Amino acid sequence: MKKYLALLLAMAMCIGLFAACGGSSAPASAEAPAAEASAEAPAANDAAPAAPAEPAVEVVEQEAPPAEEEIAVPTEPVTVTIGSTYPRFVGVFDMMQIANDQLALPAGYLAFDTLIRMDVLDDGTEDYYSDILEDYYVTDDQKNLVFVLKPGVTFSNGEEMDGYDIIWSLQRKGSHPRLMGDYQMFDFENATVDGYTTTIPLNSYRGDWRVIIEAAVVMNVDWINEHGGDAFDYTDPTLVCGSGPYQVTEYVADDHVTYEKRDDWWQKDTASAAVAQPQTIITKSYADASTMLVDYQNGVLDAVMGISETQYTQIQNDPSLGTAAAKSSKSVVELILDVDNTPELSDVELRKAIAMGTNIDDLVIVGYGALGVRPVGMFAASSQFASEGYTFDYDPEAAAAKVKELGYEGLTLPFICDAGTAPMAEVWQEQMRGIGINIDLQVYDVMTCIQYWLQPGATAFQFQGSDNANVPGDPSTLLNNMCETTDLACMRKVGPEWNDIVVRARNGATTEERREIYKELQQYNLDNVYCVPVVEWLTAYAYGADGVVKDMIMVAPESCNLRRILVG
Amino acid sequence: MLKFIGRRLLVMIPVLLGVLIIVYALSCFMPGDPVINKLGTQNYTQEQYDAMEQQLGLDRPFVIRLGSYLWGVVTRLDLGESYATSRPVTESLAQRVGVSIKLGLMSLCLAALLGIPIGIFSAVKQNTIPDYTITTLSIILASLPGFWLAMEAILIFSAKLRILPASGLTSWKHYIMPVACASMMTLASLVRMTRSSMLEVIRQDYIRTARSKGMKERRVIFKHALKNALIPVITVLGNQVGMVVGGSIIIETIFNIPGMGSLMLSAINQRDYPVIMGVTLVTSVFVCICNLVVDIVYSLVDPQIRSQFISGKKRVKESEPGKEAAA
Repeated sequence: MKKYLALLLAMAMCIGLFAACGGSSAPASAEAPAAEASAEAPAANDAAPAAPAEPAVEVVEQEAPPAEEEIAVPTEPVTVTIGSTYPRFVGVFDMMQIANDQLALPAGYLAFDTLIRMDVLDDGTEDYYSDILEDYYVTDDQKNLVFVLKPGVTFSNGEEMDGYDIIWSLQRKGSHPRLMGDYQMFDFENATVDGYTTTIPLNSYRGDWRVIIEAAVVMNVDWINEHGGDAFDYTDPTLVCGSGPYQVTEYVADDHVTYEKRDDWWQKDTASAAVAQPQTIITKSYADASTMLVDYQNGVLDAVMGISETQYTQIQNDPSLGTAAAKSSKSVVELILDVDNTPELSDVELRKAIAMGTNIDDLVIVGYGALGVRPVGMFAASSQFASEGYTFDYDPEAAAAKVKELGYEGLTLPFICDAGTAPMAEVWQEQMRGIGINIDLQVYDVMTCIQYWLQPGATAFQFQGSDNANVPGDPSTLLNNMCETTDLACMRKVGPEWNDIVVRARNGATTEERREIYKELQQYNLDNVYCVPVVEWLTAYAYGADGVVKDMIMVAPESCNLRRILVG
Repeated sequence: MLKFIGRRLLVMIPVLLGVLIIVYALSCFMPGDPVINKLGTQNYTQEQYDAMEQQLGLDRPFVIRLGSYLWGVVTRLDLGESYATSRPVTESLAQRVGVSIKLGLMSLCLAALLGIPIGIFSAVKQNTIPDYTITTLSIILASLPGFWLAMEAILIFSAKLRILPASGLTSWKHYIMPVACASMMTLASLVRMTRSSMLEVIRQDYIRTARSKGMKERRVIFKHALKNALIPVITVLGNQVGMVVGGSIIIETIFNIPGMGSLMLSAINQRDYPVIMGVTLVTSVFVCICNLVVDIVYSLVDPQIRSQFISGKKRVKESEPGKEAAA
């Protein structure tokens, strides 16, 4: 009897525990947003310095953000705490790392100024702009790159910025292993400084030069030499000396960084009055999105970036949780077909059948839900190079008939994908089974996948993002890998036509010219099926649950400008 | 005793070397190329690849690399530089090890402070409702996955009741949930271990003799039974103490605590071999030291074991627990 009583008691306690936990409001776990092997540096754009970018960024919001005139500049100092699931959101003070890493940019851009960056302008459009340069251009003979500094730009130690700081900073950025190749176009040895004008000779001219120097932050070379020179500790937050509006005042390794607004910031008198910058900004990183959302709900955080699709929907459905917004990542996940290493895929008719048998709408829902949209082509709709109408039509019956007719029914092809894209891969596997092709799907972590992707013939397919948070919207990751020179065997594309179009688009073309060449490239892809555009994904953020943050103006959360937070 | 400690310390050397060699070999032969991780998969030449490989020291044969690493560790305590951040591994470890130790020791203390008395109580009250309840609950606690417990705790105490913070370790309130969640599994096993061990001991003849002599029950339990029952409990606790330095990947990730566990997780994901090796080495050293401490504590609890340490002789027959008490 006693035994039964004890068991009943224990069961009652368990039921009580489960009942207390509830079910409907459980925050979802963080979802991997990207299908990319890694967040690569941007590597290409256009040659027209004055050409404005199209205001094509996609915004999905619960409610319209308040107009600037409605937001009063706060009279009391305001502290804004921002949480993010981006791994390098805090703790990166190495200028070279910041300049190469979009995920490290938001925090870095508080303390440093960039030479040029793509951002939202006052009129709402997106274009390159510079805080510190009066002008910048390539000379008509395409032999020199010229920067003209604004007078009076000073670092936090009071020293004025000069051309030597620019040259040194670009050199340091270019010494990053991933950027060495691109930076060979600059002849730093023969660079000259004349007053506020800095001239850097070009070894070669590339139309995408603005993308190459985009987001390069400028450091104080004298300060670095005074504090160790080659032995300068770029990871030491106490040695941060930038020309940005904020100074690092507290640093807890891998947890949070506190930035205080500088009273002596060189640009304070010229800053827009409508932009109510917080006195203090705290950036905090989270490994788990669920925990971050609880902190946001509890008022510990005023804004959160990198939230999952479930959380995005949850906040949208609950007005008390503030505003959920999403911006295009400017990246499209493509299903790459390894044409050169998979004998069966050398048959273009089979490739067309695979494209026809791929139901993009299902993959969008499975992969990204509310944070996914049907792509318009190989490039993101918000990219300045996008053109509509370059996706494949879905016709499973015709695809199945074609597979049968070609004699490929029952064909088995290997597909190695990473865990982040596994749900999409599983659904696609079923779609392929429906047209008579078996997919041998293997899922690994990204680093292991890369090892397989490097081996010719290891996988017949790969999901690859065109780029991740590439602010200028150029599909650099995709095109750098879908060419002759890539190491990723599964993406390598040989043959003169494809490579010729890619090279023409990357070198020396203006924005308009490149858009036209990219149309040609996409048409070539429609005819030859090298890749199937699957989903354009959005990255989500939220703010305003506690009423502190009124709006966050940004191109993309990964690379956003935290200076432009509007507080009430 | 000193001789025993010295001997054990000497034994630690081959153990640690073995651990290092095995982990180094395993991490080197894992799929994933640190050079590619550093360079990306595009825009580099073979020369740049070779230069980076040389810079990371990966161009040398495995044995040379291993030897060089071991030499650096032994002579300079140099654990190398992180491939991902280029920071010295010792620096990263120093920043995080304190957090993990503090959190781990607090959870162990909680588990021991609650688990041992509850286990004793359960044994003393064998086959009663409290005993059944405790046994059932301890089985449930041992079965609950740590991540589930942590997420439910956040949901209840942070999201719904809003009485405890969900992340960080800045005030005493921040410690409550991570410590409680981290201690639950150990608590459950300690309860069950203490209970079964106590039940075994209190059935011994010498306990009956003590009772028949008219000794108070409290004295019988705490002076004679508990001392002998504690030996397996100390083993469990000792192993757990050794592991705290390695941190808890789950607890640290969910509660957003920058400790050794989360460091290890990110190092594995990035194939950051020096960090993986560093965390493993520190954890191994700590485990070895804790095992030694456990052996010393054995001697304090059990005079028979102490006498072996002093004489240095091997045990020739099974100990007869409670011999002293019976006498």
